[in-house]
Amino acid sequence: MTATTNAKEKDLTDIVACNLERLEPGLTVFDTRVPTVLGHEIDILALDKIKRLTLVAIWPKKVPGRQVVKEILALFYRWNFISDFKEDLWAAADEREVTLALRPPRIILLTPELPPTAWPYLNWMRECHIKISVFSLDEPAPANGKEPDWQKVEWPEKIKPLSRALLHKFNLDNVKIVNEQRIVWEALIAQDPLLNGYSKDRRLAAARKEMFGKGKEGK
Amino acid sequence: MTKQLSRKDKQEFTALAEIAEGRANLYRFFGGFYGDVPTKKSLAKMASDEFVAEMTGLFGKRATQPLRTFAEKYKPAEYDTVVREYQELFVVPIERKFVTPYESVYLTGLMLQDPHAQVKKSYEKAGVSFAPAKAVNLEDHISGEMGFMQYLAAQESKAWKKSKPSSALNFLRYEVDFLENHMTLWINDFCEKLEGYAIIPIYKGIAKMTAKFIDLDYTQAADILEAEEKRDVNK
Repeated sequence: MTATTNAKEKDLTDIVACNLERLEPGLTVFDTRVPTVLGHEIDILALDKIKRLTLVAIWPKKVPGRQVVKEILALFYRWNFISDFKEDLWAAADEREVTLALRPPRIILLTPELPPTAWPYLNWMRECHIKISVFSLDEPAPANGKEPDWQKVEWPEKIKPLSRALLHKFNLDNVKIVNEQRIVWEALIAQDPLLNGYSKDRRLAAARKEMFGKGKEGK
Repeated sequence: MTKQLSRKDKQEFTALAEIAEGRANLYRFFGGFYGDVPTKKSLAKMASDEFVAEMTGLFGKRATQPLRTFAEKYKPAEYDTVVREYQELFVVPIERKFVTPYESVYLTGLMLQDPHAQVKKSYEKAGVSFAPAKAVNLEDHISGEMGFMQYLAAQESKAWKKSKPSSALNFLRYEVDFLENHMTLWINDFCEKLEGYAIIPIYKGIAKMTAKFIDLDYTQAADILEAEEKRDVNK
């Protein structure tokens, strides 16, 4: 099945999931719409050709300048979630491929246009040894009968480093998210001690919904 | 041999001195507000149009909305309500009302823990002695920390005025470090709590403005420090 056959019924996540090879040869779907503890959904979790977990994140529209930090924080949170629950994610796979599981997860970001203020954050993450690739996404999503045209975006030659103040604020916000996850996670464990990380049948999301109602929507 | 300062340098030092002085004044204002019951005179001033306009200019309309509500509705006869609210929020540890204005509580859940010791060390390192007064009984009380920042910013301003950039930068470094390692870590949570617990708009307003002030002040101080240090290296 190609993405273009059922484009009308499928949303962007499915289109991308079906066309991962267009982003990178050997990229295959591991799972889609993976729930996280805080409710931010991981659009696509993929495996690259060396079986490395790859977070494929989609920003369907150009993120406005004032939203950039919020979106980057959510992206970083998803990446952290994959890193934290990596073993559980692998355990849930039909075939365990633990030999390469120690490699840190990667990030592929698809967006129609990356706001210039996002580059310093991505660059900082890259300096923290997170492999990140950015692809330009057609806007609107490719219509029925049209092949998606995703181009790899080159990193700007010169990226202004994050200022001390911005980095400190980013870290503070991230610590807040980490604490929030710990609180929610501990509450979930207290309710169901057998709950063990990620689960294919979405027990985690279901339990969270039961405890906190609708809760926060990831996106 | 003293280096001759250019006119441009002098102008810049004057501008930096004014910024630091303005910051010191704001720290004094906020610190004073948390440190003691506001007087009738200070409340009347806060309800004035000039004060509201000045604060709106500094922190924006959203952060000063409760202050405007307070200014519109405040009557001097309600002074006792403000005093009671102050006591309940900052002095008397009544359940569900006391905001425990100590850094240590927000970072560890308990009073007099490591953050308190660290704050004490910071004061000592800067050669500042802490004198307990009224509600401000511990070093990591919000008013104590604001007072410390006021002192540092005032010293920085003096140094710029005397054209002593290395001394001014030294104070600025202290300020940024203290903001990074202490105030920015807990003031937001404190302000959120205060905003939730306060009933009369003046305290809600002060909570919003304090959070905004610390955020803006930290960004400004860190940016100035970064720029000046870079300039120093390039010279």
